[in-house]
Amino acid sequence: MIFNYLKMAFRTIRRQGVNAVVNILGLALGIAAAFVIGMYMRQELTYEKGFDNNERIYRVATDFYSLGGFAKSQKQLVDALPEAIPAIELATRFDARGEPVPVWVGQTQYEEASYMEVDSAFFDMFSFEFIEGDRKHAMHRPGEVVISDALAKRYFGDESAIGKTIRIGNGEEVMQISGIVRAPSFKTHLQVDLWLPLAPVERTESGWTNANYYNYFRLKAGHDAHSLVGGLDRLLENTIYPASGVEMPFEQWRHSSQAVQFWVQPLTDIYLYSKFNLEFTPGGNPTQVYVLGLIGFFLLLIAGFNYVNLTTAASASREKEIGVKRSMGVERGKLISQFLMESVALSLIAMIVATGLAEVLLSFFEYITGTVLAVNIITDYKYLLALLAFSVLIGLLAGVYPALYLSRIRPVQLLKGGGSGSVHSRGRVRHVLVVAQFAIAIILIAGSAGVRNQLTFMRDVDKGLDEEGVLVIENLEELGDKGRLFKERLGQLPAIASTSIARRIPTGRSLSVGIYRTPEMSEGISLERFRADEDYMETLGMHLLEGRNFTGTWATDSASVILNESAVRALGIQENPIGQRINQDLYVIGVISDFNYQSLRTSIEPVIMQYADSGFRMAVNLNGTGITRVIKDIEATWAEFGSEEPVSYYFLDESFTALIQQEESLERAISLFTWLAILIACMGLFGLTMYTIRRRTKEIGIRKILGATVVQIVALLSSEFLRLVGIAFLVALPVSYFTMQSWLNSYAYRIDLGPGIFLTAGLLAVSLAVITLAYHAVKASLTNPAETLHYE
Amino acid sequence: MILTKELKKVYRTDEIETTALAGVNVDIKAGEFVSIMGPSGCGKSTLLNILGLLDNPSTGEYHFIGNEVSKFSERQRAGMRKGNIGFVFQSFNLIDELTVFENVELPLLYIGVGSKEREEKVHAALDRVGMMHRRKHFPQQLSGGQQQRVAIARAVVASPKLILADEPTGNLDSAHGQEVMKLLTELNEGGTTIIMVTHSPADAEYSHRVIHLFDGHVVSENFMRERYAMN
Repeated sequence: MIFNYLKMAFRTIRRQGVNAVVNILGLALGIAAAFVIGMYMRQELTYEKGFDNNERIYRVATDFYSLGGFAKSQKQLVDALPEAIPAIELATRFDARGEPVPVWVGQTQYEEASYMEVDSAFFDMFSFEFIEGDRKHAMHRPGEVVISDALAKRYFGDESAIGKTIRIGNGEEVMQISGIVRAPSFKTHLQVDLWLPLAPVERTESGWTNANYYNYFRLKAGHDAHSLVGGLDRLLENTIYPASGVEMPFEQWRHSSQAVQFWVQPLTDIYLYSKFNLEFTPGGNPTQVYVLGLIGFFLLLIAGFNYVNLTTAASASREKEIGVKRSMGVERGKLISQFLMESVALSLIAMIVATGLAEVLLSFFEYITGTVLAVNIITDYKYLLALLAFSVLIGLLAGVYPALYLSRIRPVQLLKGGGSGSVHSRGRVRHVLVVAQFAIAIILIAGSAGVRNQLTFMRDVDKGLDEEGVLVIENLEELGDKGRLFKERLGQLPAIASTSIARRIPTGRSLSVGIYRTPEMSEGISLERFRADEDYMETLGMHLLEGRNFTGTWATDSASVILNESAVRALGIQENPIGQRINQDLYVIGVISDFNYQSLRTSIEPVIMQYADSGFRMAVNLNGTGITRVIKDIEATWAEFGSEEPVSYYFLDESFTALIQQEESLERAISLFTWLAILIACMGLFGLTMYTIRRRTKEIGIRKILGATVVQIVALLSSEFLRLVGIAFLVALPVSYFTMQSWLNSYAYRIDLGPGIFLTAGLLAVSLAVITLAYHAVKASLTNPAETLHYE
Repeated sequence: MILTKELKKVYRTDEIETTALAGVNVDIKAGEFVSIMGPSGCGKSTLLNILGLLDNPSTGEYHFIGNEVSKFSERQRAGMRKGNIGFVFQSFNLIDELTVFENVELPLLYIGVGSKEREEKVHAALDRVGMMHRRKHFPQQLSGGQQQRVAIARAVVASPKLILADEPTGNLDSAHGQEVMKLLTELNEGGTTIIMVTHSPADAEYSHRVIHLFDGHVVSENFMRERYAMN
């Protein structure tokens, strides 16, 4: 029987030709896109889910002096917290330094960037799978390391790595490999290749304003985050507050900028939602996850609607079959199941096509979003099964309406040759679906245009500085006290406009905040501190609004500060900022315009600039000619200063671009799926036009005979659909407006939503619809009416 | 009004060449009512299509109101059709989605008649066929005879010089058929030239002249003397 259905499905496809191809391809595209999005969402939403007891593991993040919060927290916590909170079953901490560590295997030296230093409880808490070695006892003895299977293969090939020794760090400390970890089948933000022992941490009770380690706690079964929050509150009041030595009462202190703050983060939320400073690994983008999820759902809807539309439209040609079957006494249930089976058969064919498409789409998606999805559809039966289940479901869902509709037709109606009694109601459902498809398409077009405009705005906005052509040299400390000399030497190179030694560069990771107040203020406020020499403003192209720059001599500049506009406002000295006294012995000598030094999602904070003639970084403003040559010169000069390490540098504009990487990735992903959605919707429209025109062949013939021109016929045929697209535009308008508004509200610097985006989206949808319609409409209007009328 | 010389129409598919008209000469004067008869497949419809400027002959000449139109493009033919030729079909060919009024109005729309004048002309045409009271109905709400009367109203609304009727009574019972034939006769008496394809000798009785076609040839022309004499 099922074979019979499949046979019927294949015959239907053959008979319907182009339409079947459009139908299947549309569905396949929808399934493939939704599948890729589904895989992406699954990956992003299931971080850490493979660890035993993951739901009981939490990380504690902290903040003090209102620095913006740190993913790391105090070194005392792992000792102090379990004592304060009996519900804690296990505590572990780890650390990671940014730079790669040298590893010697025999005589070969490797540089490993993917590593962390962990204590002995680490593998008790995180149930990584050990291929060799014993997880329970790993890292319990000094001098032990654990490595990933990938690293074991790289270091030792096919030999067993367990028990072998490697030498770590510049001191070539000998370590023994006590465990080999299999790459987890799930994603975790803790994935590294090399786990080194953490140096013993001495227990101290004072000095709670530090964020030295990533601290994780596992609670006993039956406890949740509340126990941790409560315990941290007690710790704050009973230990940290007394240790701070401040004179204000506890309640006042805990709400002041000097207070220590804690956040309790469920392990499974860290990757996607945690956006603190010093995150161990860059996090995910929840907006992208949910927006793409919605788009995936939309794509399925559009593809499903196509399916319903084209199937019901095609039903006209099957009415005779149904009539005959009904008159022979086939029950309605049988007919329904026949149509459902055919629908499923068609969606299974679509699935096969979708599998191929998904592979292509997957690599394309990975390429544009930079998110690698660990999926191999063809070889992994699990994914094939998922696709299969998915397709059957889609086939059933999309087939329900056509099946019910077709089976409802009464045989008398049909065999009489009319069957047109329900033309109008059927048309209405079809119209609603077309409106829905195009509304979705317009929402997506407007959405991706909006994201793109915001992105352009973020790229082009006046940042208050000029990052183009600015090179940042790092690790200036390598040169010892010869930084100034190096600066002077670079200044002599003709291609270098100016240089500046600085402790902090915009977009950089270094943080510096101080508490400042004017004599009028009762309590200080925290200002972002930038320390640099007198050439900072010129090198970075900042604008001095009032007063003067530093002079470059320590004697006068050490008491001078320059504020940005926000800081002037924050300190309440807009009237006459120059000469104002800040704290005990600082005086304002200048005001610069606000400049961006972090993501445009956040507003510009008050900034105070202080003079420093030494620092770890140097900004170099190249005047734009012969970059390769200049870099060679810089490298040569650096080498002359006797550093063993090669010079390390980056371009400032690139690090500004990195700040909008999330938006770029989102924009590309939305664009990709938006075009897919439009394509699918247009394919549906293409098929539907064909049917509509077939149904109206006679009418077209009559009109032509009565004198209608080709243009008039095309206009007539298009107007029906264009009206639907128009309605879709009206439906889409409010939805996309409010969605865009709420997305843009998360940005401190954002575009205004003018009518442009929406008009463009509407116009684009209409144009695409016209192009789609044009083929059939023009073809129909060129047909000789004598043929269509006579051989009916 | 209509003069054809050696009109030929050949249909070619990949393998077969079919001659539908093999050198037809007809001469129809303004004000005539001519029937074309013949067995199925003799070329009646092909001839009607060519005479109605829906199709071009393969070779031969066709003079319509003094113009040699056999080489006209589709656009030129459409222009010549407008206002000059009205069509009545066996299957009525009314547009189901439009009301009686709107169906009759169509030809006027396409020749660009203003709305006030359109209304007057449509009403006059519907009056003439006695369908004024049904002007707001849809075709499917009417009987076959009524539909054909609406189709005739549509054919005459733009006051064409020529009406081509392709088996206008073929789908009607005899009572309704007679009504339609009476209407056509009235139109002809009003000065409109009518060419009608028919299988029915009774219907042919209403015309002045019958052209018999067989295998693409005109085999005979009979004048209905008594009726012709009546005029």
